[in-house]
Amino acid sequence: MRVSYRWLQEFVPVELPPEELAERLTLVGLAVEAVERPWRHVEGVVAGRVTAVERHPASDHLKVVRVETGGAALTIVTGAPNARAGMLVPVALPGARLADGRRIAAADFRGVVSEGMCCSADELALPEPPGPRGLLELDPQEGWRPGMDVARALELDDAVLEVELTPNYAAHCQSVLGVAREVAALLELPLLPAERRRGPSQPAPASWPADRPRPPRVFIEDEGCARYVARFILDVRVGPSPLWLQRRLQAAGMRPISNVVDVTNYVMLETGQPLHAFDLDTLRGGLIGARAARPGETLRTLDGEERRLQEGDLVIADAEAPVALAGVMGGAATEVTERTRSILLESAWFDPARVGRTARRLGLLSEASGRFEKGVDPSGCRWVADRAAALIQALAGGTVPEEVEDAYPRPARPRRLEVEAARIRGLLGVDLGDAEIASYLRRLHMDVRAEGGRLVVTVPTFRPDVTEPVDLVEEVGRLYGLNRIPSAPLHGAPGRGGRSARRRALDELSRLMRAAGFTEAVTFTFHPEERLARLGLPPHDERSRPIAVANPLSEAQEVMRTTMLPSLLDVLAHNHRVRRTDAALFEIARVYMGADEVAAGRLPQEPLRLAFVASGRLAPRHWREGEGRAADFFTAKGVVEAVLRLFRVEDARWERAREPFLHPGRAAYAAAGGRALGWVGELHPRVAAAWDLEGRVVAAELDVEALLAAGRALPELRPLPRFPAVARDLALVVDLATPAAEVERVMRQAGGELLRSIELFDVYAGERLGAGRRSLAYRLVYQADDRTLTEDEVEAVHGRVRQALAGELGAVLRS
Amino acid sequence: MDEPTVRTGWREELERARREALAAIARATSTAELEEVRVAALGRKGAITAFLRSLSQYPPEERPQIGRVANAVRDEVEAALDAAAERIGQEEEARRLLEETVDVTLPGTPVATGHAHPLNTVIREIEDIFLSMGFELAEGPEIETDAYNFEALNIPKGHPARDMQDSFYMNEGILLRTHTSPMQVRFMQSRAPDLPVRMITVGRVYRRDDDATHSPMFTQVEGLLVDRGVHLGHLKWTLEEFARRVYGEGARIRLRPSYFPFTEPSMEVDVSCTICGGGGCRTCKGTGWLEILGAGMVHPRVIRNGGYDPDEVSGFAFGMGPERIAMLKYGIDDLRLFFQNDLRFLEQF
Ligand SMILES: [Zn+2]
Repeated sequence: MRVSYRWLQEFVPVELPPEELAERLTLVGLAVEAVERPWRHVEGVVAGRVTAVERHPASDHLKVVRVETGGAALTIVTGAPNARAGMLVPVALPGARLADGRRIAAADFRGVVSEGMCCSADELALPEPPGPRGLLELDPQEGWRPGMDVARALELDDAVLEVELTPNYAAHCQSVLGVAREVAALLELPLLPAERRRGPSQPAPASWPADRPRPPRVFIEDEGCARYVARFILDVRVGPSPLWLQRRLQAAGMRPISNVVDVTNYVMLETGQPLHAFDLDTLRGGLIGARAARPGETLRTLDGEERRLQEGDLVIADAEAPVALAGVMGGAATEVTERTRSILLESAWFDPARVGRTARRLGLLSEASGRFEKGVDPSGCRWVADRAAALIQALAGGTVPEEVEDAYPRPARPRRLEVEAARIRGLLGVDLGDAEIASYLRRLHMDVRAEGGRLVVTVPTFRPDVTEPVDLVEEVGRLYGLNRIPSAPLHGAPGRGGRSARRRALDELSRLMRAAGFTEAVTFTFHPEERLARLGLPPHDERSRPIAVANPLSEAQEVMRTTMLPSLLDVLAHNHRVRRTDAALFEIARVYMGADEVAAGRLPQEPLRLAFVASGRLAPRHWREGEGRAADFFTAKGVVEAVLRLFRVEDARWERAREPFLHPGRAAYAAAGGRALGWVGELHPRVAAAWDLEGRVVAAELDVEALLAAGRALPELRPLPRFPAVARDLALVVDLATPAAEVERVMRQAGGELLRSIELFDVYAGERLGAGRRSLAYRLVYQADDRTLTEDEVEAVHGRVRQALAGELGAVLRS
Repeated sequence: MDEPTVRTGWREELERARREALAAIARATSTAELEEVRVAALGRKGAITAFLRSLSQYPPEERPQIGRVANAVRDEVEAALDAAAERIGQEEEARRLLEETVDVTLPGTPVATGHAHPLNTVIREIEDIFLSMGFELAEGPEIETDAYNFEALNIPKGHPARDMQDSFYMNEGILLRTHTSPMQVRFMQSRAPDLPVRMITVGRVYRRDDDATHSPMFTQVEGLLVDRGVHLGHLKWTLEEFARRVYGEGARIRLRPSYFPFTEPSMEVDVSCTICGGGGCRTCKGTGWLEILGAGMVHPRVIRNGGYDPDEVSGFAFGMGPERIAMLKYGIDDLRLFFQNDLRFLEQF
């Protein structure tokens, strides 16, 4: 909300510099985002009467005017089309400044020296009147006289406080009065009486003219309206508002329209109570009131739109049809226009939720609907109506008969709360006396009675946000000052602090991946559905049925990921686009499985995954190392193997993976203990192309929960060897179709306990061996825990290994 | 045998052997050459060795004298050999080291290491601070029920925070959590009736916003402490301690009353500007303060929803955005950089 400081000063005698007040208000919960002074530059501008207008001797569009500014008579050149003798206009004297900071000096305009400048509204940062642009006309009826200082008369030294209201303060601070109450409570100042405000607060007494039809009676047929006050102003003259009022509306961010409408807005800004003015003569059947919209009803609103009403809409209706959407917008048929002579002024309380719903549905959020939605004070409807009627009368003339319609079936009762003073002390951690607590609450217009240690607090009806004892704790805390509360070290038993074993393992995992050359990514967990389609997963694959977001902002949030791959490929694609094709990225994060669960109203699974992608070189080209290490199946598998070692997964099994998005010949599944751990492989060229990725792309996705489950918690320790080891090399030729894992299995089985390690140090396939054959060279290490192995023992066990290889795999042994 | 001949002969013979050996030693430039000299003089077939072996040819009464002179010659040659070996060894080592000299400005063999994401670095730092204060790390679901995300947190139907515009929904009852606060209730429920409750949770949260200052997914850190006699002073101390550990001993905090449905009193917490120290600068928009987190005393209804009696216990909660803290810490000006994962950005950390 935007609050004019000058306006505020009519309610509370605050004298602090606006910036300081802003700071203080911020610290009691009214966050002042900015202090603006749109008119601060204006100076040296006075009212002047145009006494003569002549044509400029050397120009068709310029005029030479004579202006009298209370003593001095000046010659001024102007281009304004509306200059005419007799009008009062703002005159910037030489040395004056305009709103944009421009200084005015006497200047020669084609041979005529202009001794100043006549100003438009815009040049003084005031609202432009409707119609063609021209000089701002100052109305003598508003008290303007030649020589008057414009900046002083219009309070152009004013500052505007931009207040950001949190929902709890929104209701009672959505007005100058509300902010003034806060200022008064904060600075321990009184609220000023109504006479200090600009314009009357009570209309001149009058009775209903006998020759006029009786005023309509008010009805309430819907609980959505708790109170409906109607006041009548007869024989008004609709026209523009005085400048001072226009400027204040402008300061608050509203546009002046006409005196009657402007007053309804002005008083709303002042009091927080939205008002609506109807053209009294357009209302039919001697009735007006609140009721629910009836099926099929429509209403043409002020903006000219024909609105189809719905059940639940609260309307204001006369005897025949709806005339307004309660709290949202008036109807076109009953609108106040230049021809309006008499007014019905509505001041009412409407249900916040009902107003909010209708306003939102129709896209008609306004200053008024917003205030109803936050909650207005039903106790204020009557005096606010009086104030507005008096102000309309002051600005637009007319009579305000004492006949008032005020339907208020169940008057609001101030809420009573009871709270232990000790509880307030206990939650704030400050040793406040009961009396001090009571004094803070009284400053907020609450009535406080102490009963033993209990405080019985009566909350004024303008504080709908204070509904329970803890609200009072907050009120006391903020007025006392949160920053004055002494800080106190934590005491008592510590919680179960520290990282869990699981978290430590995840941190280790992240460290390992970085040590392996991968950079950590944080990616969006949703993606377009089309990304999933690129992977070509079959329908029975669980990953092809993602959890959908019902209301995405764009396709980017269509579905929650079931695999990390699309997110990471998007990241890789971005890096390829910026020519970073040597790229290695990983992420440890969640995927989301269980569209059926969600459909059934249950929460899905969110398993944690480690995934990585890489392309180009994993290690850079180097003058000594040559071309670097390229990302391919084996470099990727090596990373996965390091991960398995980290988690102490000792019994991992590898087999060829069948994933539609992976290279059919270069992809593997890892499993341990009968549980799948994940996959690693090179991307299928078609999938790489779908992401515009060039060259080999490797990727892996591992189930972190499975890794944690499969690995040993603690290492299995063996004593350091006490007897020497013996190494034997072995080269063999087998069919290409025989997996290395099978060769190793046979060796282990035949080598038994004495075979301690197997190192594959060469793989060769070539013409020499014949098609479909390959040679594998191993170093086997034999060792016993309890003795030095003899040559014979080693020969015996090595012989068994050779035999087994030949016998079981048909291997041809070469050494 | 002619005695004098013999007498002068052995002296000359020894002298010649000595001179030749010493000259050869002086000429030697390598360990190998020196070894040749040693073999020629003192080896099994060396000149001096041969002479010593031939002592028996001399008359017995002369042998002791000849032997003494011969031994003296051998000792002298051996000493010269040792000295030369030392000298040549040093020269050879110096030569070898010189030959092995490399251009130390050539780049070393690369050890490719990746980089931690700045967001995760900041998150770990925040976690460590609260872990050391006895807070326990907890994890919770990102796809959350309306009941936990809103109802349990005192955000009734019709509250502005529930507006469809703000949340991503799966269906009417299930949505992407809009904050980590549901973990307050989940964690209390998992612990009730044990005390104390000290929780820290970190995770991804989601809001329907996407512009330069809002991301549809971002992260939050949430803390909760529930115990007997917990008051605002404890919250204040905890946050001061946090600010000091993140921003240094001189860091001060400022509390501004604010509003969250699940805490009361609620507050925004500012830390004295890390750039200007409080004097006012562009980062803090001249205020000297930077808003870093929201906090408050846990609302009695939330405590009750967590399974505790608000008349018996009280608590505080706080929440912060690691993105904001990382942006301030590293001077990052665009939120989107965190989720774009451009290596040119990430590799700077
Ligand atoms: Zn600063």
